[in-house]
Amino acid sequence: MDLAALMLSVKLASLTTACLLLVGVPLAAWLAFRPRRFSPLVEALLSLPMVLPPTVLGYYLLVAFAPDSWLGAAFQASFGTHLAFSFAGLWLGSMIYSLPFALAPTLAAFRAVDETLLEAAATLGAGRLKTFFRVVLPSAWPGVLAGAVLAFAHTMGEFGVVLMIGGNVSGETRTLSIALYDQMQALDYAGASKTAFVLLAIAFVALSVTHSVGFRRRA
Amino acid sequence: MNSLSYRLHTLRGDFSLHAEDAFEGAPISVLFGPSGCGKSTLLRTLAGLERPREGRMELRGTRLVDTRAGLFVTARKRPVGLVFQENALFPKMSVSGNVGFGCPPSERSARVAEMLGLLGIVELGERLPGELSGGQLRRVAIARSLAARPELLLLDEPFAGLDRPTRRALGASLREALAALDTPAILVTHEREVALRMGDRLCVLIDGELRQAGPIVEVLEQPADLDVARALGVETLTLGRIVTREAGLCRVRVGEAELLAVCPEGAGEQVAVAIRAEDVALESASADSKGSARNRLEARVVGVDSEDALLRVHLDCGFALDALVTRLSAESLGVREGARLLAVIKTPAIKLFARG
Repeated sequence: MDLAALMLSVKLASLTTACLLLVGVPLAAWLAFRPRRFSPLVEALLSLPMVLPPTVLGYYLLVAFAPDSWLGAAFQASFGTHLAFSFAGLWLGSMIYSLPFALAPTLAAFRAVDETLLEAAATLGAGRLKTFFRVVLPSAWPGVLAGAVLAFAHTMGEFGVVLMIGGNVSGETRTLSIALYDQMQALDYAGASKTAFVLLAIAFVALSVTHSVGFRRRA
Repeated sequence: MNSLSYRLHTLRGDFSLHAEDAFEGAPISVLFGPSGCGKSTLLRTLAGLERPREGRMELRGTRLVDTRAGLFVTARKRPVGLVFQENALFPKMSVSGNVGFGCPPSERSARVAEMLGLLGIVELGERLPGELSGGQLRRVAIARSLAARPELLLLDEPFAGLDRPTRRALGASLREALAALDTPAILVTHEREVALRMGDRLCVLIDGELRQAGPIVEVLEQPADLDVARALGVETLTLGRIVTREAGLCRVRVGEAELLAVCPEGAGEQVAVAIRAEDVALESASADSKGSARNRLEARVVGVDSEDALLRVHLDCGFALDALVTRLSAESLGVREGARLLAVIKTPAIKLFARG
């Protein structure tokens, strides 16, 4: 069992999930409550990682992270290290490929909030923040939670994009799914079996959490 | 002074709404009209939830809408409360939480206590909306809107879906609360009974147009036109032909009967005839003519419906006519299907509307 890989995966997934909450919740609120004509296009663009082959996404990310790209160059100039094949690059990539998984349930939950409640809040003089925290969130938090859990689980398990942009640097970019691949390459079936089980268990627990929240609310 | 004036034109898809009114001091204005006439749209426009295409609105001297000047005060900034037909209480918030939602924090607890007391729901403070009955939900919704101290309260069908005793109790509480806070209200309803019971003013909206607005007695007794009369549910509404005219009065042929009525200005031969069931008295067929009523029609009872303490008697007197009488008088007259009676209508109670 590659403990360093497990720790790295957990760290990456936690950091990504936390940041996705900060970015995804306001983004979902904007798409749900202040729709613009181009909102569907934004939604489609942000959902692309759900359907794109991970290698395609990985390729574009790698191109964007390259030291001669503006993003890669800017990062190198600011932090003195390159973005590709680094933890920072992996984290940025995870944000992008896990965003739709965080966004979809959150957006669905926000859209399910009765619009009359929002109007009632407005006639009572409530501003956007008050309406969001006192009216929207109390109804929609299970959707936000589901989004966070799915984003966490998906980041834990992503393989293709990680391999493309992170490579296989121990303690830096070798996540659990990469370690599993390594173990199989090295014919370490005992180790692979443990790693696979840990990934399976994490995915199952995560999905159980989201489904039981949904179940409790329907019951 | 509680004054409101507006002239609004709102478009919603294919639906176009024109409404203009101005009044001062009336505690409850009833906005009355058939379903789909635009009452809710007008209410939402007054609340600031719909943007009018054109117009202006002024409440207690403060301009809230003036499309020419590009002024539109949003719902959030308007001192206007709205009680939604579906109540729209926040489902995860206690009754007290709901009622206090629109209050400034420093006054919240005092106002919540006051409003719960005024609406008679003190014991419900800690409950969640899901645990309340229809009448209780409506009380909480009214308390919540009033707690924010609006200068005008709008209510969308506040009695819909409630049974009679609940309506009466709620109506009394609402009137009391509005009086205590000196808040004028506009109440939307499609039920004549509600309009008659609650309204100090009556505004009749038909097909997206505010046709008539004024003190309730005035509107009821002098409907501006046939559509208003029809919307107000004048029971007997039929067509007639003026046969003779004399000194401002005329004789009108209606079916096989002839009626004496006040002649409408500019009427040709054809008129619409409106008679309210309340204005039709019944006498036994053998009674002599003693009173001042000029219209005494032989009538046969074709049906009887019960309406609380009253009976609605459907008559055939050469044309179909309804009379509303007490059970007591119906008994003493022997009202039953097939009975022959006299229907008595005073001349001024017959409203004629020029047609064409």
